[in-house]
Amino acid sequence: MKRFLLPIAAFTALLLFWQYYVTTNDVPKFVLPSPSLIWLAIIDNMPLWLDASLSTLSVTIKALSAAIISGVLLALAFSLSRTFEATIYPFAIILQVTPVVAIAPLVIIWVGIDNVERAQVIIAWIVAFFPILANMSAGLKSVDANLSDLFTLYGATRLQRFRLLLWPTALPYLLASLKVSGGLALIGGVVAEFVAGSGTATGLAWRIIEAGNRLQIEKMFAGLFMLAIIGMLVFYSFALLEYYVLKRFGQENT
Amino acid sequence: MLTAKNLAFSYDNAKPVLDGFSLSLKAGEVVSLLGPSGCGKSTVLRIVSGLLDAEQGRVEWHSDPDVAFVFQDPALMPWASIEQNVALPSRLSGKVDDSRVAEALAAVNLTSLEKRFPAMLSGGQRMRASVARALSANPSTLLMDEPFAALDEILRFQMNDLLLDLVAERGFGVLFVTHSLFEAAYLSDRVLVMQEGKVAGEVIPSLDRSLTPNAQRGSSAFVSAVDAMTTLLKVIEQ
Repeated sequence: MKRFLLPIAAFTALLLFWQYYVTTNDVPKFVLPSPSLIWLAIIDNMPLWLDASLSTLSVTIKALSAAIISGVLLALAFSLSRTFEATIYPFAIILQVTPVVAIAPLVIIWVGIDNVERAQVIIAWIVAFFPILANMSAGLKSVDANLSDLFTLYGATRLQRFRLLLWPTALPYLLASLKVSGGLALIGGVVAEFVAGSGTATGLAWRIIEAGNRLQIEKMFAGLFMLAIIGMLVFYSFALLEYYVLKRFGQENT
Repeated sequence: MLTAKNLAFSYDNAKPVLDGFSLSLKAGEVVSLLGPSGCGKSTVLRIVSGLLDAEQGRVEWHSDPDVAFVFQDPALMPWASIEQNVALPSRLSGKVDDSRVAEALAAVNLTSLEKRFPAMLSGGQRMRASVARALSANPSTLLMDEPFAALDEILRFQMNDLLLDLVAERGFGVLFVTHSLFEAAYLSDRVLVMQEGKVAGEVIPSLDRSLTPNAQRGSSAFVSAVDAMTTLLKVIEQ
């Protein structure tokens, strides 16, 4: 209970202080709008926020799915061939350490002029994919040496070794990486939309830019609030998935 | 049923781990390998099991070469129930035999815990599950690499007696690696004391199995077997 009550209490206290400070000091609403004003901005434009949230969430989910498939397959290929891993891994690192904001304009120019969503998905995929690859690789390497010997001794086929030993060993690592990559996919999608600017973008990031251009600061905050909600939704969905899958496999303590 | 002749092996061209090692093992016999760390005990088991190939010498089987392995670490799959863990050998060979799995679980007295996961079991129970998994492979030879070294003494005594009962009942041969003189003296028909990759000497405890376990451990045969091993190990140290 403490885990829920304490953060909620702290958040409420912050909002109350914010409201009090802004009201008593007559802070102009284009500098810092009060929480009640932000709340109105959310309520009054609900259809707009829902639409934009849906668009952002859809980009996040598409990018994350692509990241999971490509990350897992590449990690498997790495585990099959050390040479392949040594050849390809540096490229994955380059892609990871280059700031996505710097790559985004290129991607927009190549594939995003007529279809921003396509560029958003690709950019979000680039940032979300590396933690999955790195964790899955680590998971596949952490196989118990004795168990591996037993599989050899009792004549396991490659498929049996994968299904009964490698996959279950790597699964907790994969699930942990999803919590990280889910958040990164959201960030990647937002960054892409910021870089794309106007065009056909319809997500939350564009709504935030739009509100900023019109000096509707309370709408900017409203957009940020929706983004935070989506981010938490993604994180806690995967945390929950992790909890239940590991519980089902009897290893929530490991 | 198993003879190994003049085995030689070295890891990465370093000093040889095995150099002219030989042994034989009959059905129903328990043979222990005893010696200081790095004397090549575990390497013998890996070569006999086929996990490693000897550089020289050969392993000959006079019966089916079906071996099962038990490590010091229980090496159970944490995501699988005890029953699924014990069924692993038959599952991998494609011949799932539920009755054999049930029998193996019963032999180590784990039937009531078969649906549990390894994390829910005590260290002793996990080791029994590991032994049951080896039994379910229905081996003619059981290879054990310090299997009870991590258990406390009371549990180790229980596991020793369980192992002797199973050997008497099922008649498989056991190749047993241990650091413990007392365990070697209690369990073994023969103890091979190893030094620098070969057998430095053999001790035959010949305990009177009609006595109780504690009486066997207090018998003069036991004491003189331990004495003989100590003497051999002292010679090795010098």
